[in-house]
Amino acid sequence: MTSQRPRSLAWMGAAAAALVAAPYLLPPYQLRLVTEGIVFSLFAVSYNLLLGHAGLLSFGHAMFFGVGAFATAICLNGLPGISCLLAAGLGTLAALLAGLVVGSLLLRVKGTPFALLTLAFNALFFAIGVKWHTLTGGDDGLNVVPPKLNLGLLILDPGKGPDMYYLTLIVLGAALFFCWRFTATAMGHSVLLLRENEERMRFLGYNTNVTRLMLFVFVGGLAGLAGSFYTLLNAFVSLDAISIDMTTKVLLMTFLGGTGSFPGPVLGAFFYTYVQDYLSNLTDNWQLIMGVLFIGMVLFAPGGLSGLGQGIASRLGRSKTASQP
Amino acid sequence: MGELMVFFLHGLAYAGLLFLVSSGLTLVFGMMNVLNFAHASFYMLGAYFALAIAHYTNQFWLTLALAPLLLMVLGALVERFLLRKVHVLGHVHELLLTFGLAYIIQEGVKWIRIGIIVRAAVNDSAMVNALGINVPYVFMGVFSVGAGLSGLAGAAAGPLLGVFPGMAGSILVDAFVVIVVGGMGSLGGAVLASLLIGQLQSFGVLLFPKFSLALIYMLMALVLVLKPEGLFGEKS
Amino acid sequence: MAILSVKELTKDFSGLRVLIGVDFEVGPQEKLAIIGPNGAGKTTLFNIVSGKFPATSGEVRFKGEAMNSLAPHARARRGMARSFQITNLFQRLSVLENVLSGVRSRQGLRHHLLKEPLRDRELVAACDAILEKVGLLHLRDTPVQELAYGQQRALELGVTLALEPELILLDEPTAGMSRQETEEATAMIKRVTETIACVIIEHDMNVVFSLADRIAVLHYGVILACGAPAEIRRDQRVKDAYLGEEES
Repeated sequence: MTSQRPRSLAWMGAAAAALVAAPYLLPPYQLRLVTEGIVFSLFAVSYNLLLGHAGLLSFGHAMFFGVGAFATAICLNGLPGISCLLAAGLGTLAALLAGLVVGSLLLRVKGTPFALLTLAFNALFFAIGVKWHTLTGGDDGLNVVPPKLNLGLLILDPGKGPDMYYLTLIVLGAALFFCWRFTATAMGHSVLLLRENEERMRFLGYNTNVTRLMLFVFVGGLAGLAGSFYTLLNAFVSLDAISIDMTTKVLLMTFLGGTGSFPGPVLGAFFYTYVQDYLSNLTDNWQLIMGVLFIGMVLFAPGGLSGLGQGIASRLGRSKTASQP
Repeated sequence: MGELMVFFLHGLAYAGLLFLVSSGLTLVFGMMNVLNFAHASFYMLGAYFALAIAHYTNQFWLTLALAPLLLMVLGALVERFLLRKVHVLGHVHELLLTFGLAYIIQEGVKWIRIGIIVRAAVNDSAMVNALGINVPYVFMGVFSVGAGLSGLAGAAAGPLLGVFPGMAGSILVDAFVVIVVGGMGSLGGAVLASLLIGQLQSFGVLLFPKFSLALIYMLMALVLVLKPEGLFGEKS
Repeated sequence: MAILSVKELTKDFSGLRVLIGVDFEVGPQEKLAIIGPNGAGKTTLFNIVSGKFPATSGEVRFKGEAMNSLAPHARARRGMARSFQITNLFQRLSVLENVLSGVRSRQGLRHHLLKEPLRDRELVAACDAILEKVGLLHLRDTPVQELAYGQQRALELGVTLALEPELILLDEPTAGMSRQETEEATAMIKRVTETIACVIIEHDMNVVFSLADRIAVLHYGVILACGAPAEIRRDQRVKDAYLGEEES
């Protein structure tokens, strides 16, 4: 344990340095992919708070992502002069509200009906997006021009790759750090209790409905924040952001990466982003390949990539200790 | 009056389709406790198979009999080689598997030429071994019948609603609403809810063209708040 | 004044009467044991008192307050705790995290949602004190699923105690234990519940007679007799209905 600490600190230091230096090391296109990876990391991590930590399988996470993405775009277009951070904040707030509404309707529903209803709600949000095209732009989507962010000492322009990268890294990095610490907080502990034994929790004096609702609002807000940055990054948002396809995407990312640990979904988000980029250059049917990969993982590697990694590491560790006399 | 009758009949026809789809869904759920997210995709495949068979044979009744059979085979294969493997991993994985399957079928349909699907499916005949009296076979049978029912619905839906890659998504949500409103695992509930939603859908389009979907969701929200286990569902 | 009073409690399960006009009271710090054959309605009685499901008719009062319309968590917050016949813990969490669930509940849940409880010295000290009491301090970081059965039962009691309740409902605290484990568990229950009122469901008569101040005999939904242990031992109806078959 003691010898591992400085080593992991060194790793973290190196990773931090690489993240800060990335805009100087990577060509613009690669930097954009990394930025997108960070956005989807937060989306996948928020999803895993439901799936991994609370044990709730949702098929509707894109509704929060989409609400955040659209609310941000609508604020940017409708309120001239608004700062892009405020627009992202309002997008997050809208997603929090969506979490509150959907969460309170789903309070008494668990297990399979929960999975089914989240999908139905996602379909509802998508249908609203389609019908209400004066607000969402319908099939055309909405173009936005994210305004420059004046921070006093420096001015960041979200339209420029490196500036957008740093903005994303700082804001979403903070959110990711917060998620990482989340399980250790009192609320994180309550969520674990909820997953393990909801009945006992109630007999211990916890109002589990409140815990579930708070969790829903919380993950809704986080997904909404990711959606807001998705809009800022692309300077555009379409119905794609709120579709079942987007839900499938976050599900694939989270599951491919592994639901058992915090880094799993982050790994999955980057993996998915890069593989999609690679495959979509080769073939139009990359989604089919992703789907087959997903089914393969469900069948043969339910722990995801991080589970595979841990399995290999522990096997190596075992053979190492075994070879020592 | 004549117009109302048309809407009524259309609602009834849609209710019939919905019932075929949701009864298969609820049958599988009731007996195996697995919600099959790929169920609507089976329905879509049924429609595509039917289209291909009709194209080659030009016989409506033959098509109506053959398409569900193909789906039954497919359902049996899916149960035997995919679903049964993840059963030990628990519930979440079963749902994930069927969801992934729906995704693959969706993407596959956009891609594969119809003729290829038909030939591949006809050559597989693992169905012969599917009759026996032990539990795994019963599960396989149930799943296969469920798939067959949705295949029948798909074959019947073609002439009524058209055949296109989005058809799975559009009926899936309606079928889910049917089993939520009717009560999961209840066949009687599925009948009533199908009729209700078929008419609501049809007359919704007539009365509030912009909000026909909202009507269905309002019904579902109402049931969720007042009777979360559904009209005919058992309290868990 | 009685801390718990149950009046005219009746419960029907789709036509079947499981409890018929059950009446009893428990005084502060009193230990009341409820005995009776399987199917007598003992666990049903606990489920109604703790709020798992409602009574068909009758009343449950705790510290003078009517409980009938309160949810289980509201009853627990008022100081009524319950342990379970089958260990009902948070299996994949550590011993410490299990006890923490009770301690946090006691200290109020509304505040400090984003604080890290395991870094709060007072909270951890309170958890350790309870683990010390039930003899599990050396296992505090072990996941519950790796504990031996007797240890899980001890933790079950510890989690319940963490609520600092004024009344504990103990559902067969020694079920499935060996002779020796039962004796140790009985001694521990005696020690840790000294100042707490208890209602105990138990089959083992040695445990009942060493813990109970009073005994109520529940027989097919009716309280047949209720009184001091010595009285119950002498009661002919009880002998006929229950004790006789136990000893034979």
